[in-house]
Amino acid sequence: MLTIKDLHVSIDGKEILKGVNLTVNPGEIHAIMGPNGSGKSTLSNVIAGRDVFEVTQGEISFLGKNILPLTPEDRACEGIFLAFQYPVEIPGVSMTNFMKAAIEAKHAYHGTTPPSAGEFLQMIKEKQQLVGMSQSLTGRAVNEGFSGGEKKKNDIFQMAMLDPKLAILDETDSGLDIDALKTVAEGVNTLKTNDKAFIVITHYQRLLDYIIPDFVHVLHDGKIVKSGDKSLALELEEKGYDWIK
Amino acid sequence: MQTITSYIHHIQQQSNNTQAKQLFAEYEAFPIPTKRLEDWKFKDTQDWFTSLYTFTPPSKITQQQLDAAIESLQFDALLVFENGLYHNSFSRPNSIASAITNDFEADIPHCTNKFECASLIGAQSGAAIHVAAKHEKQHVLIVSFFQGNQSYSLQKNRIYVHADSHIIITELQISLSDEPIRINHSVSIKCMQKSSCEYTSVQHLGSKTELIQTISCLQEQESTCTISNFPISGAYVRTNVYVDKIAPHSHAFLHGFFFPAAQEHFETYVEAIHNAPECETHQLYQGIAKDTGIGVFSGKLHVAREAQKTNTTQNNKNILLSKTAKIHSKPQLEIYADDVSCTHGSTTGQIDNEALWYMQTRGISREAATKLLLKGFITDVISKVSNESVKNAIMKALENKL
Repeated sequence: MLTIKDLHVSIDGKEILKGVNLTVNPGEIHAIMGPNGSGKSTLSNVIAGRDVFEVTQGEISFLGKNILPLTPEDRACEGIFLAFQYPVEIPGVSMTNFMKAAIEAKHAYHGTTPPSAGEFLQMIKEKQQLVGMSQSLTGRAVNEGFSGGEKKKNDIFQMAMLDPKLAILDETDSGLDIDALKTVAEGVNTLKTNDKAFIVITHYQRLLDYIIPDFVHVLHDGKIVKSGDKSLALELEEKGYDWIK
Repeated sequence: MQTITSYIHHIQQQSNNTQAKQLFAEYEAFPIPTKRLEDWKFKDTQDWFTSLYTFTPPSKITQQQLDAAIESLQFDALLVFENGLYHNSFSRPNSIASAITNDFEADIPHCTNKFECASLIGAQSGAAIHVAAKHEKQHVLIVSFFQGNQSYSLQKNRIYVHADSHIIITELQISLSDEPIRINHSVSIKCMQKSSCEYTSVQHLGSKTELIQTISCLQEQESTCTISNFPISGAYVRTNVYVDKIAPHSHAFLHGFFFPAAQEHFETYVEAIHNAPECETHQLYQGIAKDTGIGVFSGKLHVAREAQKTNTTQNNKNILLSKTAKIHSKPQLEIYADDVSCTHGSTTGQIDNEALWYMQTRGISREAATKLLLKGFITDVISKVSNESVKNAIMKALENKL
């Protein structure tokens, strides 16, 4: 589904990713761990298409298509979703209008008919229940005045609405208490199907107690230095990142 | 063709009214505004006093033009003016709303600036709205049209809201042509005990039309006054908002949105005077500027020594969409009482790139995301307008500018 080959990325002339290789197949959950500054967030931003990063070498293909020339919005419409470490507040834009614009953009991209107003509202209701988000939040401006946990839950709700093929969770666990962490993990587990893949980026093993990964990769100094199954995460937790360096 | 000074000088000479003479003395006492005066420094208006004008060009408006202007708006009474003169056949007055017939009324307030003096002396007509005590709320629509090469239009609207009554007034000011036109309007509102008045002013002016207007409101005990202004288009639009509280528990809500594009220059000067205790004033002014547009917000709050327990907020937020657009913001507080809560804040920045990026990752194009973001920004202020049809019309006009 996603193939990254020898990816080199720099920002302002400074190389952050120095040859990343990664293959993600449908139905798989990959965890990417690593110390601060190892390039985890850069990797997720580059897959989603942030233009401040410059891809100097390598390729990223998604469902057989080279996505490097695509804009972030086109990548989203292709089925890539990024859950933010710090979801952004957008004052004045209601959740409903925001989701409506996103769903309509996706249908326009694929040339399909968007849901009617009634179907759309029904869909909001269903997905809210699915991820356990309170109804009052969808009536408000995007993330405005939401608590840290509500913002993350809102990202998972948007994921449920947009139904992506590949979801990247960028340090979704940072700043979350244990209850919020569980709710977010439950949301992800509910949305998991055999044709979807997840990349979970995290500092700590904690999140992986709830979202069980098939593969764990350790990113260090812009390269994946070790890959393994979920036991690698436990080993890291015990020994720290120094062990890997 | 004559200058504004010689025009109003002639009017006050012809009049036997002492008030006209007093206003003319006040007019003469105000200096001609130049860029050296703090409150006039962003636009040179000296030319307004030296140019020669036509004051009463022949009427030109048609029913179709009026219909196009008021399409989709709901109202209880309609007053139509053209170059400051009342249009009897097009208007639909009622028991509370008609046109001014007598030139000078007993309790004309003192003028707050030279332009207001000129309009109070020189205007031959304007809306006269008298809401009797305990009258139920109505929506009065005033449509003022302007045309005529090198014309100068003067108009004075007078609004009295008696005790326990309420009124909503919307004024649309529309240029019918792209000729050089100058407009000088004054609106005097008096809110008596426990009354409320909402005045919304909207300008759809031509590329060579310049407008200066002063909206002033005198507030008695427990009255509520809401004044909003939305310049949609025009070469230069300046609105002076002046609120004077003379009794306790009188509250004012002052809002505006300016969106200068191309060569447009929009200014809002607000002054709220608190002379009585326990009054509130809440100001919300927002702006977007693009191309080489210029926006100015100046908000002054004056709290007198006896105005204890005053509670005010002042908020000005602006977004610049180009490197050449400018917005000048000047929040000012002048407080002599020691037990008050007065907050103020002003921000001017660019569109939030993080928010755009967030929306793009949800599949919304950068262009659509920008529009959505700006629309949200505009909605903050527009939502303060209570008449739905007016609110929608303003929103539509501003959206077209995005």
